[in-house]
Amino acid sequence: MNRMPRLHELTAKEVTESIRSGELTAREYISAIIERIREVEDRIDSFVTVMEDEALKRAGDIDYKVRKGDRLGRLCGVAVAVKDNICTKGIRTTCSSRMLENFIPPYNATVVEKLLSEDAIIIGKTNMDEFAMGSTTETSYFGPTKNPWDLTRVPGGSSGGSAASVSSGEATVALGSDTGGSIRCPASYCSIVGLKPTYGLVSRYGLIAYANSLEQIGPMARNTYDCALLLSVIGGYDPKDSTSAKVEPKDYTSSLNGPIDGLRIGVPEEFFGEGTDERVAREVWRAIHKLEDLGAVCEEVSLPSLEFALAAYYIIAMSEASSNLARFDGVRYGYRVEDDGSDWSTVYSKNRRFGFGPEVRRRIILGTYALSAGYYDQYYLKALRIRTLIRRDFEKSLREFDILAGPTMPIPPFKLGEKIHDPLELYMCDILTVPANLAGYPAISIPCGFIDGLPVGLQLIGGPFTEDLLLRAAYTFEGAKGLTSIRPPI
Amino acid sequence: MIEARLPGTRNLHNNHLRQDIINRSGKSHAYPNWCARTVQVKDEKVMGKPYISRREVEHIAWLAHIELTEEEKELFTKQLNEILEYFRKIDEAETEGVPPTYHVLDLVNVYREDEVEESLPKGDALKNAPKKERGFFKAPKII
Repeated sequence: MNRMPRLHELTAKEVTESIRSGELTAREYISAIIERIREVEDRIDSFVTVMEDEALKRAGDIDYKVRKGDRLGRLCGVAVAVKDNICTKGIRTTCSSRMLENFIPPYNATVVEKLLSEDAIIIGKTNMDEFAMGSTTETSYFGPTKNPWDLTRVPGGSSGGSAASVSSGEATVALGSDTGGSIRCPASYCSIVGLKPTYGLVSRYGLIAYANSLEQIGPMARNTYDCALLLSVIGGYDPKDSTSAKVEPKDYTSSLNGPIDGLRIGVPEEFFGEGTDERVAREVWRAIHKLEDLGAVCEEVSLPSLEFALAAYYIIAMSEASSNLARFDGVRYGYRVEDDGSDWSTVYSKNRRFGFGPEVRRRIILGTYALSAGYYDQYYLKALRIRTLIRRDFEKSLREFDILAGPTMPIPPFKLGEKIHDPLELYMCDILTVPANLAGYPAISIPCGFIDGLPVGLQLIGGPFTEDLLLRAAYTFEGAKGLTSIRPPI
Repeated sequence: MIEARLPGTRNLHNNHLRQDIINRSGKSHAYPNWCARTVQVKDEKVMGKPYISRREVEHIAWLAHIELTEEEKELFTKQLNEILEYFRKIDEAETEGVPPTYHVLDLVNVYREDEVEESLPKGDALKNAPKKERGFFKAPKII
């Protein structure tokens, strides 16, 4: 039964170690990744852009560094898939939107600079819900990504391409972004590890904004160690992002092995409400009991304000989106209709009609409504007050507990096309992930089991800048459960 | 670490309670109604007293500079009413005297030294413009 892992299945840790020791060349590895992409990509559609030539060239550069005996970066030779809302210099960055179909950024996002400075190899730009607005990757202008565990089902979203590429071995690790669950949801649905950092830990410079007070770029990987490694590279203060926190970069891999004896875990009862599938609840409780067996102390807790989290989240996110996306006018960049001599206002409205898909337009219109005179207090301001209540509930419970645990998603991955025509039903899928974004707290999703072959994710939420604790709990759980070696049947 | 217990929480170390919790999960009686199945929109209500009328949708779309087709006006009005009905859930929250959180970091103004730094070359800045002329962006007719 013990077969040798194929090259594309290596972890980031194994890749960097093998390249350092000379057992493997970056070129061999990247060639194997490209081979894997050719093998499965037409069935999964993880990528908007595959960067074959660039990746092979960079691999050659890294091999040259190895031969010269130069210092090698922490991600040397690792194939990183980057979500297509993160700017890559000279490589088109589309947000999976017709609006930016031909947009080629003249600069790199800070996280991309950091990847490159550690000798990572960007293998491609991944598919996503248009402007990160969705939980299934179905709102992409380029068509949906499929779940590697069942090609008829959604991979989750909005970072669905990043999750699917990592899950199926088309990339070693990936970057996603998480505004209301967009890293954790697809991580859960594709059975990988995905972490939304504390707001401000990772620079957002070069991330195309959707809802700027909520979103964070974060790491996605097949195991916790790789996730910690990638976070160590991308974290830390950036003067180019005025909302980045003044924290020093940290090596999260060094604290993974600590004990979790006596770790106090709170289990919010609201996470097991009516909308949570019983089978999901059962798998997640099993995982929580596993953590107890490993030394954690678990108790139920209540965060009553979570009842209002989903509505407050969508009001805030849409309001911010309506303002952020006003910049897309089709003048400096973006989709522009043929000029028929119409006035500015008409052209602007047409550019946005044809450039944006229906979900993006719906959210801009709702956000505009929530911010308009007469409704501002009723919707936007009220939602911001609820955000304070949610923060207070988190603060209170995290004085009693070190971390909170529950499901990432209330239901298992569903069929493509099943919910896309009912926006409200789709929004409901985010009910367990949005609270962490409203509070600005870190949260991780880790594989915890399967229902009829479909992945279930365990979500752990911690206080501000406790990523090391979340990762340690995840690492300990992963070691005991041994799920990461199970890969999708593709 | 000290084991703390909140009022009203139960200790999960008790094995028979564990089973109880597993059985209860997914059933509604003990938990607040806040999930998908409880917010089915009652059509009569929306029909009777819409939160947003078709004319309002047209007006807001105009404010947001998004052209809508006739079918979209119809569909969006229906969908927006369903979504707004759910949003009104927030009315139930007691928020008197609670300050708003605009941002989770307590940022006021973030300044940097006013020093000239390298900026984007003109050619690069214009590269993505759909229309340009003599080193300028070409905008549609404004007046």
